[in-house]
Amino acid sequence: MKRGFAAPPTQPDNPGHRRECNRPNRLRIGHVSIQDQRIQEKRGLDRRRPGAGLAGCLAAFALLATCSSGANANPSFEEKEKAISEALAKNPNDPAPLIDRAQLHHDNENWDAAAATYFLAKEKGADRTRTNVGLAQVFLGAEMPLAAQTLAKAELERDDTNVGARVILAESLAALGDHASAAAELKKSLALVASPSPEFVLRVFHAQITANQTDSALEVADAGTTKIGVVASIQLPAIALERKLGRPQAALSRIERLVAQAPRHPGWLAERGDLLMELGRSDEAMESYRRALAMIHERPTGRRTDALVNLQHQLQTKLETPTGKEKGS
Amino acid sequence: MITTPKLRRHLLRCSTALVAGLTCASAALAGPAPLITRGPYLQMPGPNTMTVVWHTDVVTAPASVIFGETVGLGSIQNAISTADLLGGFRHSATLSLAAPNTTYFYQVADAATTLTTPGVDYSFNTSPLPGTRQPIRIWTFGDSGYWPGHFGTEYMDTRQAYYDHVADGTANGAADATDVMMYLGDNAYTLGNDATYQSVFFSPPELQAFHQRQPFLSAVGNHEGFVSNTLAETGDYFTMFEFPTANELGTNGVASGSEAYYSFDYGNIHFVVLDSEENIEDFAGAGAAMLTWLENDLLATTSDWIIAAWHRPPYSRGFVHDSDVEQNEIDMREQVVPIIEDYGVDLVISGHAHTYERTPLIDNHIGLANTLSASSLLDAGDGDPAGDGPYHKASLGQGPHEGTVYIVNGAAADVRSFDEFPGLGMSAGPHPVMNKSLISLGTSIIEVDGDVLTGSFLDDTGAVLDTFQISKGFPNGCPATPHSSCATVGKMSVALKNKDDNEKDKAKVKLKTNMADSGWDLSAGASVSACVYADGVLAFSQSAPNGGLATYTTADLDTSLWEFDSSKPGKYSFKDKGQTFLGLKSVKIKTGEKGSYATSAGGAATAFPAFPLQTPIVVQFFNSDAEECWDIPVDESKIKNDAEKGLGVKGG
Repeated sequence: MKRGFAAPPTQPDNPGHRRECNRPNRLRIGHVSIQDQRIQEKRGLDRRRPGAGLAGCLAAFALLATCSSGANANPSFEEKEKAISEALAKNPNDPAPLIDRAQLHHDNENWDAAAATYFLAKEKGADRTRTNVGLAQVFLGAEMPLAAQTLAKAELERDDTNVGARVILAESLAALGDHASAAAELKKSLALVASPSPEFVLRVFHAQITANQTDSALEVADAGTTKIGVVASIQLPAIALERKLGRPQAALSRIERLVAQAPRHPGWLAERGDLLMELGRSDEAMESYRRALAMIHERPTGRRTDALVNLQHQLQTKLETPTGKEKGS
Repeated sequence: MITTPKLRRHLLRCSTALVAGLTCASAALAGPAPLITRGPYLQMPGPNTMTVVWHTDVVTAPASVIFGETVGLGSIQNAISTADLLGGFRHSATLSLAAPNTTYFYQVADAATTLTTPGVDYSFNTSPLPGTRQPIRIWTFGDSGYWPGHFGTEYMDTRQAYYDHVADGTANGAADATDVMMYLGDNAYTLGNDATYQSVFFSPPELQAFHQRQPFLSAVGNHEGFVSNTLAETGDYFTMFEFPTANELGTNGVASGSEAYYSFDYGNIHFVVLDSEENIEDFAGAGAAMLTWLENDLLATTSDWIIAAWHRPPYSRGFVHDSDVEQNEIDMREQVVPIIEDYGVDLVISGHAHTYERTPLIDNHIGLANTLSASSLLDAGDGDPAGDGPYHKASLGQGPHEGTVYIVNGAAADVRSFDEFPGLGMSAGPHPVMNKSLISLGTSIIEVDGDVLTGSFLDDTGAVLDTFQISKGFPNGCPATPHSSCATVGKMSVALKNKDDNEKDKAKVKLKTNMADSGWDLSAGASVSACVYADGVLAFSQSAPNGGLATYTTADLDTSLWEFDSSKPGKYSFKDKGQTFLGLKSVKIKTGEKGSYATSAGGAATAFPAFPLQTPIVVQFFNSDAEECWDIPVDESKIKNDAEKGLGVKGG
C-alpha cells in the first residue's frame, strides 16, 4: 500500500519544474540528529518501506496547515518568511510564528529544520498537541514511521478524539506494513469527523480494501454517504466493489440512488440496466437501456462525446440481443 | 453547535426567562446590544434558496433572518450560531424561498433586537430556474486581495469601474445589474485567513454594500491554501464561505460532496468551479474524486452553456506563473482540460497571474507552449464582432471539441509583468496561444443572452480593452465565417452583376438540392439564406425574410408577401415589387429531393461588396428552420470575379 496519498506523477524532464506543494519520495540528509535517528530506524526495520508522498496535508485536521506556495522562487514564500521573522523580532517568546516557520520548513521538506523549529516552539511554550502532531508529520515525511507512531500514540493517549494524530498513526502503521491496523485507525478517524471530504472518505475506503476488509470498505462508503450525502465519487467505487464481490442487488441499490439524483445520466441508467439483467429482471433492464439510449439520442449526433457514442453502440447491441423482447429505438 | 461561555450565559438567561413566563427578549434586556462585526453577506444563491451569513459580538439566541417579498417581510428563519474567530458569533440562516427570479428583502436579528433595517440595501434576487433563457451578466474578480504594503487600493478602482460601467456607480446599482459574482481566489493577501479576510474583504464598506446585495461564489486560491486544506476541507476558507455540495442550488449536474469543487446552474448556464490546489496535486490519489465528479457532472448537464472557473490557469505567462513550469497548472492542463473539452465547456476563467490573457477558440492543446499546433486553433481570430467576427460553435448545448476560450484575469488588484522576477526559469514573451496579453488592472464581464456569449475586459479606468463573442447553435441567417459540417451535394450558382449605376445592380442566387420541408406557412415565413464568403469573411448575403403575415405586410396591399398554395405542397414563394428588404424581389422555394431555392434582387439596396472579391470564395446556403446547410464546392473554372462586372460562381 502506498503510504499517504499516491505518489505524485513523475515530473517531466524540465529543470524549471516545481510544485508549490511537493511530496516526492526524497530523503534529506540534514542535521546529524535526524540522520542518526533515521539510520537507527532503518537498521531496526528489516523491510523496505514503500516510497510515497507525505501525508502532511492529511494531518491538517490537527494543524490546519497545508502545503504553502513555498517554492523559493515564489515571492509569497519569502514574504511569509519575512513576516515570520518580523513577528519573532517583535516578540521572541511567541511560539506561534515558530509553528508557522516549522510548517514552512515542512512544506519545503526541510525535515531537520522543521523538527528543530518544532522543538524550539515547544520550549517557547507552544501548544503541545500542535507541536507533537507537527513533529509526527515531519517524522513521516523523513520516513521515520516508528518515531511518528510513538508521538501519535502519545497524543491519542491524551485525547483519543484527535483526528490528526489518529491519521498520522494510521499512516505510520501503513508505512510499517500493518495495513489492517492502519485501516482500522483510519476508520476510527472517519467516525470522528462530522463532515468529511469525499477525498477522506475514499482514503479510508481504499485503506480497507488494501487491508482486504471489503465489508469494512462498504461500511465506510455508507458512513460517508450518511455524513455528506450521495456522491458519485464515493458510490461508483462502492458499486464496483459490490459487483466484484458478486452482490448485484447491493450495487443496484447504490446506482438507484445516483439515478435518483441525476435521472438523465445515460451511463448510470445503462449500469442500472446491467445490474437488473444480472438479477434476472430483464424487462426492467431493457427499459433502463431504452431510457439511457433516449438520453443519448436527445443530444444531436455532433454533441455526443466518444464515451457517449461508445455507450450508444453498446446499448443498441444489448437491446438487439435475443434476451431482449423488443428492439431498441 | 459550539457554545462559548458568552453564549451559554445568554442561553441560560433565555431559558430562565422562558421558565418564568417571560420572553427571551426581555431576558436579554439586561445584556449588551449586539454589534454586527461582519456582513451580512449572501451565499448559496438558488432559485428557491439563499443563505445569509453575519457575525455579531454577542447574541441573544436565536439569531434569525426575517424576510419576505416586500419590505414588510413576513417570514422568519432561525440561524445556526457558532463561535467565530473574532471573539463573537457567526450566524448562518438558509432561507427557503417560494419564487425564482424574485426580489426578496431581509433583515438580520436576534431574539432581543433587529440589527438591520429592511429596504433595498438588504435585498437580493433569487436565481432563475435552471434552463431559463434570459440575459445574464457574470462578473469575475480575480486575485482581488488587498495587500497592505504591497498592493494599494487598486481593487477599489477596478470595482468602481465596474459599478460605473454597468450601473450608476453605486454598489446597489451594480448589484442590481449583476446576476452572478465570482471571485477567482487569492481574495485576501498574504495569508488568506479569517483575520486577513476580516480586514480587507469584509470590513471595507464599499465591498460590504455589494456583498449584502449580491451573493458571491469563489474558487480557492493558493493564498487561501496557506491556511486551508482543500483535500480535507478544513481551514478558514471553508469556515467563512458556504458552497453547494449536495445540489442545494438546483442543477442539472451531480452533487460533489465537496466545497472545494462544485457546480450550480444559473438560467441556461452550468457553472463548474474546480480546485487547482490540493485536489489537482493529488489527482492520481485521493484527488481523483474531483475528476470523477467532474466527468459525471458534465455528462449529466444539459445546459446551453458551460462555464468553468478555477484559480491556476492552464495557459499563462503572467507574473511569475508560467503554465509550462508550475506543476499545478500543468496538471490542470493535462488532467482537466481534456475532460472539459470533451464535454464542450465553452469558457474557462482563471486568476493567479496578475495579468489579463485570453486565448482564441482552441481545442486539444495539452502540451507545453511551444507544442501549439495550428490544428488546436479552431478559430484564431480575435472573436470581436467588430473585428474578425464572433467565434461560432455548432451546438447550443454541449458540443465535444467545438472549442473553448480560456481567460486569465488575476488583475483585479495588482498587475505585474512576468519579467519583474527574472531568473525563475520562465519563458519570455506572451504565451503563444493567447490572442490577448495585457498588463492592465481590470475585471472580466461575461454576458450571456440566449445563444450568444460576450466577454469583456474592463480596466480600472472603465475602458474596455478586450471584447470577444461566442455564438452557438445553428446560424440564423449568414454567420460571420463559413459554417462547418455543411452538406456538399447539390448545384448552385450566384450571379452578382455590378453596374456603374447601383440601381441597376442585380443579384441572383440559386441552389438545387434535397431540401427539407420545415412546414413553412404564411405565418412563419422562411429563414433561408445564401452567403458568399471571400477569404473566410462574409462578403454578401441574401436572406429570405422570415416572419409572417404581421411582419411582412405591405402597407398598401395589406397582404402577406409569402404565398403558399396547399394544393401545391412543398412550394413557397415570396414577391415584393417594392423591393423593401435589401432589394429582394422574389424568393422561390421548392422542398423535397429535387428541391431548390432561388432569389432575385436588385438595386442599390442589395449591398454589393467591393469587387473583385478576395479568394478563396465559398458559397453556403442555410435553411435555419430545419438546421440544414449546404456548402457546394465552387467550380474554379467557372468563376468570374471582376472589378467592373461583379461575381459569377457555379458549383456542384
